[in-house]
Amino acid sequence: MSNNNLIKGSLQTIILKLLEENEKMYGYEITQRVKELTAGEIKITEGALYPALHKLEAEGLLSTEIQQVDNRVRKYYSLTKDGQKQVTSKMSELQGFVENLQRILTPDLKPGFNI
Amino acid sequence: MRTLTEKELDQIKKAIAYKEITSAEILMEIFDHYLSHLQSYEVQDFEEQLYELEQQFTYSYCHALQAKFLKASKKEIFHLQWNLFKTYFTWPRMLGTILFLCAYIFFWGTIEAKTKGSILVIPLVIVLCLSGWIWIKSYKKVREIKRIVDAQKRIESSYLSTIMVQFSLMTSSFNLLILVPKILDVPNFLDSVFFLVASFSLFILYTGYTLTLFEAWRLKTKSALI
Repeated sequence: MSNNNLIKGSLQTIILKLLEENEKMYGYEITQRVKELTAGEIKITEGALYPALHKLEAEGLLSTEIQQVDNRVRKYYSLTKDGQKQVTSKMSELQGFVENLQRILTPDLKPGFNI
Repeated sequence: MRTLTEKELDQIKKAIAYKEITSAEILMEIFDHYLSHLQSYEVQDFEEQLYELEQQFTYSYCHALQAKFLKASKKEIFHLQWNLFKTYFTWPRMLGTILFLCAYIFFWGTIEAKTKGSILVIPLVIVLCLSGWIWIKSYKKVREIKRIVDAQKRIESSYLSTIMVQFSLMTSSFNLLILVPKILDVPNFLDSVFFLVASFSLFILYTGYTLTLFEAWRLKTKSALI
């Protein structure tokens, strides 16, 4: 399923939400978690993931930690206090958008429904 | 998840080396991504999966990622310094700074113009020492990455590049405002109001920069390669 363009706008929210549920994660782990949760329907490309992670880090929403794992060094991402605050607002923003989108796609649906 | 063979590791290192990445942070992250991905596949799938990765992490993608990361690290360090600068001035500190500035201005009026120029060198030397120290710390961390990845090219932390660019701006401002008029032999330059204002402003700028850089480094050293 080619959904890269659809995911683009919500990638930051996906990352923040996953990091809220998991204390810390590394890049590859995030791609695998999304794949696992969506049974392979949504695949986050590396081309979009790393720039998004770096942007969130630069904005102070994510903090990083470097750890030696096996024979390499791994960069873990976790939420900062600002990041934790942002999760709720980003989530409700995205949920509102999905609700509105649903109204456009299925106009017969009554307003105020829950997804 | 399996352990990759030495031959496979060499193949990965070679593939990454062709990308000529110079940012230690990006190199570290891509190397980990390759290894994490390839470890989850069987030996017979290795070539195919490596090829798949190569299609995603192309030369141009890696360089674009590197450039974006450098830009993001510049923004991050600057914001960190600016936030530190803003939060530094609590009421007791503000009072302390005002008292210090009053004493400084009084002292400034009593010394010779030549000495003023020399005094200005003090914070610049402190910034130089601090930058040198950060460089050594970063070098040691990056050396480890270089060893793991077998990087042949020179690599360095993107954060370090940011700090060094800022440092070069400091020395350039000093050269422009103090050394150039001296070299050009501008008459009575040392007694001019311009010199007084410029040297005083630079002193404040250098001191503020040194303090915020040190604090920003203290915050970032735990998580970055600086």
